[in-house]
Amino acid sequence: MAVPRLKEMAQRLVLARHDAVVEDLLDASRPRVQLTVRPWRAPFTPHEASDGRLELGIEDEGEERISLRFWLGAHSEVPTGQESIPTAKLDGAWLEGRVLGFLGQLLDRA
Amino acid sequence: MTTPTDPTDPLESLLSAYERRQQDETRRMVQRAFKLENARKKGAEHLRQFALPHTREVADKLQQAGHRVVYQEFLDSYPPNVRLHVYPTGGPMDLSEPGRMTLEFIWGDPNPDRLFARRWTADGLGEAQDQGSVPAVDVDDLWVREQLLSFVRDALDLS
Repeated sequence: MAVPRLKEMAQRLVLARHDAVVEDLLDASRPRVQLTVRPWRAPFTPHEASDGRLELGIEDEGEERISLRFWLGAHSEVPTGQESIPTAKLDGAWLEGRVLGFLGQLLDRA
Repeated sequence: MTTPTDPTDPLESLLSAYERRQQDETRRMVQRAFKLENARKKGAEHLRQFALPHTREVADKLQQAGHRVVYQEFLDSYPPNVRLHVYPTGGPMDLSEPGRMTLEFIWGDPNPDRLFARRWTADGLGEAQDQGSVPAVDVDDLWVREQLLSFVRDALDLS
């Protein structure tokens, strides 16, 4: 459910000239899905906007909880925001709300 | 179901607001650049018409009289300006190194649409003195000549 939604949002970001990539890493040792966004900036602006990354991960082996973390700034190690919900509560509206929150903060900083 | 062009779609609103902000920023930047460039062009034209011929002539005459002169024109700068640096030559018994005195004609700094004559010495720009200024409509050869004369008189200690 999450991957196609994130991919659709990434596509819309790309249509609006932003760089946006979704990486499906669900088969990795730490299963997760990542959305990386670099906001487009108008020409002649003094500096490039820094990347933001949102990560949706499976928290434990029993796959009972989903963690969501995001980082604003390419080199930040500490997440700017994070939360954890039971897998059963993961739905489209929740995910979209969180992604919009992340994008809102990222674009405000750009 | 929302579509990418649906104005009620939250992602669309977010992206549109960001796009508007970026466009507004760019527009402001372009307008400022236009304003700066137009001011530079106007200033360069006034300097070319009124200041350059006389300042060049004074620089030549000072050199012919044995003084060391550095003459600089920065008409493409923001703000445009012309500088005349003079190192007056002392008499044969004067053992001290000549100090530098500089006269600068500068357009639009600190106030727009105005030509300023400013002078400073080897002590540095911190000691700069405004010698005079004139609005764009009143700039003429006479005003420029007066500034040059006053500067040369002081530089050569003739007053």
